[in-house]
Amino acid sequence: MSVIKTFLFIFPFWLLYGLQEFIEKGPLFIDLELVQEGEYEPVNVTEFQHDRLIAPINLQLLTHKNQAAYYASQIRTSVCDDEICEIMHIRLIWDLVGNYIGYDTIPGHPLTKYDHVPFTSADYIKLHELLMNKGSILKFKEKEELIDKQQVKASDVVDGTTGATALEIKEEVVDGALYTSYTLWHLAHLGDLKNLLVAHTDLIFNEALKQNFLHSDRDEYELFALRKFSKSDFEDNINFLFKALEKGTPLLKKFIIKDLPDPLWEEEEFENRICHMFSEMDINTRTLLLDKLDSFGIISTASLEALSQHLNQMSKNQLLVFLKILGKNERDKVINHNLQLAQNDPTFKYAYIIQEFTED
Amino acid sequence: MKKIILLLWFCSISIGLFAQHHSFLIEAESFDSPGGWVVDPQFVEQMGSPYLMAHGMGEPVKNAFTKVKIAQKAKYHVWARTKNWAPGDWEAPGRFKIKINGSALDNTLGLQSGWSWEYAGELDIASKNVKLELEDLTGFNGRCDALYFSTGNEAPPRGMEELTAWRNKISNENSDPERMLEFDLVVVGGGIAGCASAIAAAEQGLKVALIHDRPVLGGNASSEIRVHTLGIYGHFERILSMLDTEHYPNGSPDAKLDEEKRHKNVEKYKNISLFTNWRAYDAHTEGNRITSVDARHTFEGKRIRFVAPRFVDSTGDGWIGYWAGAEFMYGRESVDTYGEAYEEWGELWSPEEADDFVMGSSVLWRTQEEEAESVFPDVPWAKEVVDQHAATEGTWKWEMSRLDLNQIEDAEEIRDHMLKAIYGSFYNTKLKPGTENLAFEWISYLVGKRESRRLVGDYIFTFNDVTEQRKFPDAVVMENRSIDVHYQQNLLDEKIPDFLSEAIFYKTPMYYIPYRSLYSKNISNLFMAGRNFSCSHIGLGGPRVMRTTGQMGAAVGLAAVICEKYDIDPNEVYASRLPEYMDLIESQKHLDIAPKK
Repeated sequence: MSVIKTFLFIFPFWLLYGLQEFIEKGPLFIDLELVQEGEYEPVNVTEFQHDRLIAPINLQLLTHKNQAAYYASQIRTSVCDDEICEIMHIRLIWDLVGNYIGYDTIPGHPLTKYDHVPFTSADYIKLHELLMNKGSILKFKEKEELIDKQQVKASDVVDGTTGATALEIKEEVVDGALYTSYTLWHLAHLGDLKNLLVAHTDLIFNEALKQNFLHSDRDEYELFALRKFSKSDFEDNINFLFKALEKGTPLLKKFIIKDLPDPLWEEEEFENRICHMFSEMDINTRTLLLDKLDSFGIISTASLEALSQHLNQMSKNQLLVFLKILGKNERDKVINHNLQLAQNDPTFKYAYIIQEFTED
Repeated sequence: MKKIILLLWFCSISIGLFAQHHSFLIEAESFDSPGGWVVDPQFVEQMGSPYLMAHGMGEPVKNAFTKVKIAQKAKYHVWARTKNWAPGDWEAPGRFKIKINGSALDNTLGLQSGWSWEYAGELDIASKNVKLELEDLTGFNGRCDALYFSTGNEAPPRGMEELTAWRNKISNENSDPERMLEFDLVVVGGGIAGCASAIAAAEQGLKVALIHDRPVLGGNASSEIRVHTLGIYGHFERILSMLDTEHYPNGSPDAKLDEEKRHKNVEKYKNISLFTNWRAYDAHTEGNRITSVDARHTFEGKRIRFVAPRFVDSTGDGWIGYWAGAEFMYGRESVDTYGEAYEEWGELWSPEEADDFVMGSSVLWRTQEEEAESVFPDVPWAKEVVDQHAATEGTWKWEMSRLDLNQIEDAEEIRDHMLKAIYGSFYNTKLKPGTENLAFEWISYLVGKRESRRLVGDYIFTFNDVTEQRKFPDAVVMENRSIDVHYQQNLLDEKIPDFLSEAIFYKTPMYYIPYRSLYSKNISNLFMAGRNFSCSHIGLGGPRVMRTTGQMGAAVGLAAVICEKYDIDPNEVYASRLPEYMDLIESQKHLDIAPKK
C-alpha cells in the first residue's frame, strides 16, 4: 500500500500536475495520511444546521475498507460584508475528532477575492494555513472589527475593503479575501460541529479504530483512545503508555498519570520506570506525578532513588512535595548522597530548602 | 520618615562569655531616597517586607541612599537581606554593593538563592553620621529588603517564622498601631472596583477610607500595569467613566492620562480619605464581624488601625476576608462541581478533577526605536525560559500559570519568571539585524493578576448563570462580554514557551450578577468587589474585566449606604431592603454623565 502525505508537503506535486488534475486525485489540502489505492467511500452521517450557515449541510464520513478516515461536507455559504453577500462553494474536511484538516474546491467554483480576482496558488496555501490555526486572531473578532473604519475603500464586491483590513488581522488572512477567510475560519472551527463529529466517532469506535488511533501519531486521536481505555487496555498497551509519556502532549500525559489503574502503580518496576522518565517530562506532568506519588504515601526506594537524581530540575513546590514524600519513606545511601549533591550545588536555586530539610 | 530600628544593647553568648553588641536594622524601603530603585510591596505576606528593587531594564539605576545617626562608633559587620532571583551557572543578574560614607563594602550582594542575609563585609564606622548607599551593578532587578549592622558576628534568622518573630519583637509590631481612625466604610484596594465603591458610597454621604498599597490608583488599569478596561458600564456609566480607560493597546503609556483623570475624580470627594502607599496587613474580628483593619505605610513603616462598621475587600487576592476567616475558594472546580462543561474544549475549559491551574498573571512591556544605537547585554539566566523565543512587546497572551504555582504564594516567582521571559525574548530580538536602535520603553514590575482567591458569598456566580440567562431579583451587575477563560499553550505543545496563554471564548447575550455574590456568607460586615467576588473559576471568566468589577464596586458602595441608613448587615439588604436598594441602583442611570473631554 503506498501512502502519500498531502497537506503542504504535496505542493510541488500539484504544481507539477496542475490544480484541476490534483483536485480529481484527492483533496486540495488535507493534513492526514491518505491511502492512494482504492476509493474512499462516503457515508452520510447527518445534516447539520447552524446560524453561520445559510442552509443545512450534509456531513459525510469517508471510509476506506470500512475503516473511518475523515469527515467532510460540501458547503454552500454566503460571504458578506456590511452590505453585499456572495455565495461560496467549498468542501471542508475534519479529522475523526472534529478538527479542521483540509479543504477542497468544487469544480466550477474556484475561490475568488477582491473584484472577482481568482485565488492564486499562494492564496490557496495561505487559506489552508490560516484555517489550520486554531488560535487565529479571527476567533476573537466580530465581523465589524475586521475593518479599520478610518480607511474604508469602496468596492461593489465582498472582500473589496482589503486595503482597510485592521493591521493586526492582515497577517492572518488571505490578502484581498478578508471576509472569505473570516467566514471559513468560523465554519471550520464550529464547536457544535466538533461535538457532533466526536459523538459520531464515539458511536462507531471499535477495536480497529482504537488501534488506528493509538498508532496514529496524532495527539488528539491518542487522547481520544486513551480516554476510552478499560483497565485491561492499560495493561495491554504498556508500550503505548510509555511512548506517550515520552512524546505525547502534556494533556495526554496528564490523563495517563491520572487514569492509570492502581494495580499498575503497585508494580514496583512499572512505577520505577515512570519515575525514571521524570527529567523527560514537562513541568506540569512532573507535578502531577509527584502529587500522585504523594497520594500513595509509601513509594519504592528504587523510585525515590530515580527521582532524587533530578532534584535540581524540580521547582520549589515540586521539591517540597518530594521532600514530603521522602519524609514518609525510608532513605537509603543513594538518596542521601543525591540530597547532599543537590544541597551543595551552587547553581541549584533551591539548595537551601534541602539544607533546611536535612537539618530538621 | 525613616524606619531605623536601633537594637538595644543585647547580650549574646560568645565562646562561653557574655558579650555586648551594638546592632541596628534599616529597612531599605525607608531610605531617604530610593534613587532609581523602586519600592516593591507585592510579596510582603510571603517574604516579610516591602523591598527596594533595581528595576533598570538592563541599565544600572541610580544609587538609593539614606543618612543615619548611629549610637556607637565601632567596627560593624554588615548584612543585607537579599536574594539571587535567577541563580545558576552564570553571574547573578541582580548584583549590588553597599557603600558606607562613600566606600564600598567588600562583598558583592544578590548572589544567594532564596531570601537570606548575605554578608556584605565589615567596616570601622568612625562617625556617628553615616551615609548608606545601595549601588546597583546591573539594572537587572537586584533587590534589598533591609540592612543589618552589628558589632557581633551573627546574622539575623533566615527562616520566615523566626525572622518574623525577630522583626516583630525588635520593631514592637506586636503592639497596636499608633493611630486609629474611624470611618463609615473602609475600602481596601484602589483598583477600579475599590475606587468605584468609594465614590458610590461617598456620593451618598458616607465617610470613606480608601486604602491602596501603590502610589497610584487603578490596579491593573494603572500606569504601573497598563491593562485597558473592558466590559460595559451597566447602571454605573457616570461613576465608571470617571475611572476607566480608553481602549488603547495594553501596555500603552496613555494609561497615565487615564490615571490622572482617575485621581482627579477620586480626590474631589472630600469625604473619601485616600491612603495611597498603605498596605493592609491584618483584619481584627469579634465573632463573625470585622472590627478593624490594620495597614502599614509601604516605605515609612507607620501603622494605622482603621475602624468601621463595614468593610469592602477589593484587594484582588481577598486578603481582608482571608485574615478575617471568610470562606474562600481557590483553583479550578471540577467540571461536575457546578456543571460548567464547554464540551468542545473539555479539560482546557474545566477539568474532570479540581486543580489549581487557574488563569495566570501578566507582566506587560514595550519597546521603542531610539535615535541612537542601544546595546543590550547577554542574559544567559533567561535562556532556560525563552530558548529561541523573540518578541518586542508583551500582550495579554504573556501570561504565567503553572500547576505547581500559586498565584498568591508564588507571585514573586511568577513575576521573576516573566522578567526572564521578557529579557530573554528581547535579547533574542536584538540578535536580529535591524534592531540596533530598539530599546525597552517600559517593563512593569507588578504582577497583573487575573485570578486568585475568591471569597464565598450567599450566592456563587457560575457559568450556568450565563448559559441559562438567569434573571436575579438582586441583579446589580450586567455584562455581555464573552466568558473568556485562558489556558497555557504548552498544554497542547510543550515546545511553546510556558509564559504564553490562549483564550477560549463563550459568546453570550447579556447576563447578570446578583448582589448576593458581593458579600461574605460568614463574615457579616464584609463586602467584596473585584476578582475576589463569589464565583466559580469559570464564572470569573467574563466579569473579571475592569468595567464589570467596577460595577461590583459601585453596587457594594450603594449597599453600604443602605446598611448605614438602617444599621444592618449586607445580607439584610437583600433580605429586607431590596426594593429600596434596587431603586438606588436604578437611579444611577438617570444621573447626568459628564461629557468626555
